[in-house]
Amino acid sequence: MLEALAQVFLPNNILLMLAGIVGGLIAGALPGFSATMAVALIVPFTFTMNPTSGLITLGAIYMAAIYGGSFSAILINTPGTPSSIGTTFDGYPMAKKGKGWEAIITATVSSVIGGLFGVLVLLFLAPALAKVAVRFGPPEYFWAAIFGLTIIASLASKSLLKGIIGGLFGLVLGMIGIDPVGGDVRFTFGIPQLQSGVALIVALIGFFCIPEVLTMIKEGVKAYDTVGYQKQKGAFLATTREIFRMPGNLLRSSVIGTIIGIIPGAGGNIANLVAYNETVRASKHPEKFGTGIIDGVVATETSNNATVGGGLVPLLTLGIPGTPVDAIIYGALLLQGINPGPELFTTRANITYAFILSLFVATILMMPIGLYMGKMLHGIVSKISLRYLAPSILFLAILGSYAIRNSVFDVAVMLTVGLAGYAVKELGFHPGPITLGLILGPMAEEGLLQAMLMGKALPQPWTIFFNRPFSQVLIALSLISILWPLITKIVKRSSGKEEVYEKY
Amino acid sequence: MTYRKSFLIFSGILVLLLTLFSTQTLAAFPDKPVNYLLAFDPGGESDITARLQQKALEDVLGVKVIISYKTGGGGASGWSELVRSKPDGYTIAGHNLPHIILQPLQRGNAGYQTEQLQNIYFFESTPNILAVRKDSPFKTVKDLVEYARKNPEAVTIGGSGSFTANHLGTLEFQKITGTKLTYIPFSGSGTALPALLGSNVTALMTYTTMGASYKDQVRILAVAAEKRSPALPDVPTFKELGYDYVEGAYRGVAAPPGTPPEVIKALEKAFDKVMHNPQVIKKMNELAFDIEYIGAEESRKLVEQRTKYYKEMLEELGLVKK
Amino acid sequence: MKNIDRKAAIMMLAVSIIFWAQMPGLMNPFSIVFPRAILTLLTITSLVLLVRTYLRPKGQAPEVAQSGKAQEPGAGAANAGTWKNVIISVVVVAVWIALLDVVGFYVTSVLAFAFLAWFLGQGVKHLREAVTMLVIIAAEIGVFYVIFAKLLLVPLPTGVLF
Repeated sequence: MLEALAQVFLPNNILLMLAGIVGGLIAGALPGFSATMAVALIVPFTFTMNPTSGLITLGAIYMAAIYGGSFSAILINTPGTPSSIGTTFDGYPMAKKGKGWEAIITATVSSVIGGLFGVLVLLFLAPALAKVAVRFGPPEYFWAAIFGLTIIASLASKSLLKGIIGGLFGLVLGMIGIDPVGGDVRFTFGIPQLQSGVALIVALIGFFCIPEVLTMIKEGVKAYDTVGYQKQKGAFLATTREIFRMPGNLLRSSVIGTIIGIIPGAGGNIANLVAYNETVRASKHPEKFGTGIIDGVVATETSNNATVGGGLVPLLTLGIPGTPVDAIIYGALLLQGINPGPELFTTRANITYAFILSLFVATILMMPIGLYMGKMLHGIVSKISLRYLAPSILFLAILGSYAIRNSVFDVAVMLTVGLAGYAVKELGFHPGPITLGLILGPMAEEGLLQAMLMGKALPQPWTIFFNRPFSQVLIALSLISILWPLITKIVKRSSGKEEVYEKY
Repeated sequence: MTYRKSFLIFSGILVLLLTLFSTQTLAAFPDKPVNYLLAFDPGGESDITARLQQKALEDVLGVKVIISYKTGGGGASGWSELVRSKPDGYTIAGHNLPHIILQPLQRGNAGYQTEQLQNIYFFESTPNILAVRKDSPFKTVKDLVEYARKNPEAVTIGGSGSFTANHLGTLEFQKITGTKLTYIPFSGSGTALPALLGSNVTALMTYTTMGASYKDQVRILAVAAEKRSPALPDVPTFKELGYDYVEGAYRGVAAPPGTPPEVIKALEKAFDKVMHNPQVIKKMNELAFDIEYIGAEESRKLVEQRTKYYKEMLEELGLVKK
Repeated sequence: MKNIDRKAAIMMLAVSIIFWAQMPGLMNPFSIVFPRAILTLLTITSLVLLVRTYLRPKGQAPEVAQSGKAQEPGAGAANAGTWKNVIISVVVVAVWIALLDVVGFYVTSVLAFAFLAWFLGQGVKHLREAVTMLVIIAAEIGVFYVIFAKLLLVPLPTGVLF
């Protein structure tokens, strides 16, 4: 362990770590550049390094990119990575109220806490928790997707029906391309390029970024100006104090993020929305969410960085990637001649512990670098005039949607989705449920069909969905989630509080 | 300098450059970086192979080799990009059997046709393996087949995707053994593995590379190759066990249609040299790739022969799209 | 506000019709189960939304578009002009994308960016301003170009130029 720690603090490793943090932050902050992409772009360069240095670099990029996604979520209402979708809900309203800097501080502190929590779990509980990863079979994925979709209720703040329609619209968009189980080409309208479907990043730019820019152009002004904003001394301490006043939120979101990270195939994109939802439900003032309160930002940013450590649990113990980024790290390990799996904690323990400890160090170093960068970005976005801001965002949208798969066609899809996104926004649909449908659709479909096939082995095929303990837990969670408004109503009535429930 | 003058000079330089480039292409191949396009994500089998070859390939060709990615559609995006690229040998792409045969057959318009890909070389294969959990009651292929005969559809086989070597291999295996199995497609070899470890499927039809990576956690019953895999010397082939079952995926490189024969020849030679490089061989063996030395002409024949085989198979299943 | 809901319902009905029309091409039973369920739900929920706009003449709560942009008094007057800006910008972006493969990434981006900056800032006053603007834009895009094309070896689209 000490030897591993000494490795981490080798000067060149610290340098690589710092470079990784800066690179990750920039990639995360740019709309259209996800953590997955940042790690994928850097992987080839790590082949020339020794395994430890390579892993340290990738880990730092990964952790920082997930955090960096919050910057553009807060400043321009576009999630920098899919893990920050929920951060737009309250982070951006905060920026509009002139509290962008507070939102960035909140995101920073929460990310560090969530990141550290995930890494601690990885360090101490990895072998024990690895079993959770393999207990998740097709029926569980199906129910998890259903549970995820129940979140729509709290994302669709105005009209539940439109939230559901939006979610279904997202599910429909997610079906374009090759279907995950049957292998058929669907809904491509005769265009061969659509075989690859609508990439999540492309859709995120389309639904968040383009409508925001077009609104700016239409109004002729930026969505907010912080000219009157004065730098408050002590904003950092005040905000941090406020964050620590909600230990329940921090703990809950950290746990949610870690667990969802452990489940193979699910990552920060789902974790941040689930954590947001649970925080709304646990809150004493759910109606204030979406108006720019720090509770929401704390939830999403804590949970998404907690997925980093969580996702590495199955990767390092069993060789099963927990999140899409881990799948790339898996390949990098193989090429270094390391077999991801049990041997990582035996013959290769030195490398593994150095990697885990480096994540811990990187998460802490992320704070000063992130705050500095966040302040700079906040300054740029608030000072720059519309004539540069709008084209800059459009340029990044084009570059990002191109670089995800090096495809000009994807850029055209981005613009198309963007126009559709502008239209649906004008028609009162929230982008949250749509992207949720897009993320969870393939998971639901795969789980459903694979479970049906599994069921063939049973006398009553459909029982496969109900007779497994993990499935039962997820069904119970989904039911609670759906019935929650009713439950709170009853609780409130019995406690004699009068409150108008105008959600439905 | 006036605007017009500068424009003239500028276009003059441009024309000069363009002619320079085009004449040099004819002179000697290669004299500028070669773009090695991959249709799958970084970290996958294709990427790992290409990275292992990169250095040796640069040494042989004497120019830089740039690896880039165009992913999606199970590889179809990358290959349709390749067939639209300039046929000068400076853009080549990794390609896979049976993907390049099955996609055009089964999807109708996949954006490219099998014959459009000019084969240069197939340099490796990953035969199918049948694997079960370490604690599974099935100790041999025979155990599993006998159980499956008595309990039709009750044996579930996980594999990577539909219309892949895993999927068609399972169908073929059913036919040979007279069993009825349930094939469950997962989105990749990597996602199928947790399903086996969590006992959600009885067995996996997967590739030798997976078997080697997870050999501590799974038991490999047999490998679907003509001879045993160097990485799994203790695992018998299906043929040894009396099942005439050979199936797997091949990986190679191809050029756009219309690439001059002498350029193909040069690239073929280069890859042949690379695959004889002891460093490359050692690394590939470690990762359980079976190295192949299938040149351009033989590759074409291989593709032709496999196309016929798969076409018959899909027609039998009624899955060919016109 | 019922108007917005009605338009929304009609749009989603159109989406479901477009996707329903693609269904007959599917042969594999596995490929059909899920889309059929989802499209049925989308059609039904859109119809419910549509019917509701006729049943409840006035929406209970005014539905502000989610951006939360405040409709300021007097903003309506300039609406015609600003819509024009949106349309022109979208056209510019479309051309920008179309030319990436024809002209090349860097050159197209600089030109399109410069046009948008000129247009959104209602022109430029001095030659000096124009030059500074171009330099800033060329440098901004240049940084990204170098990072991606040269350092990270991402093959950015090239055409006649780069």
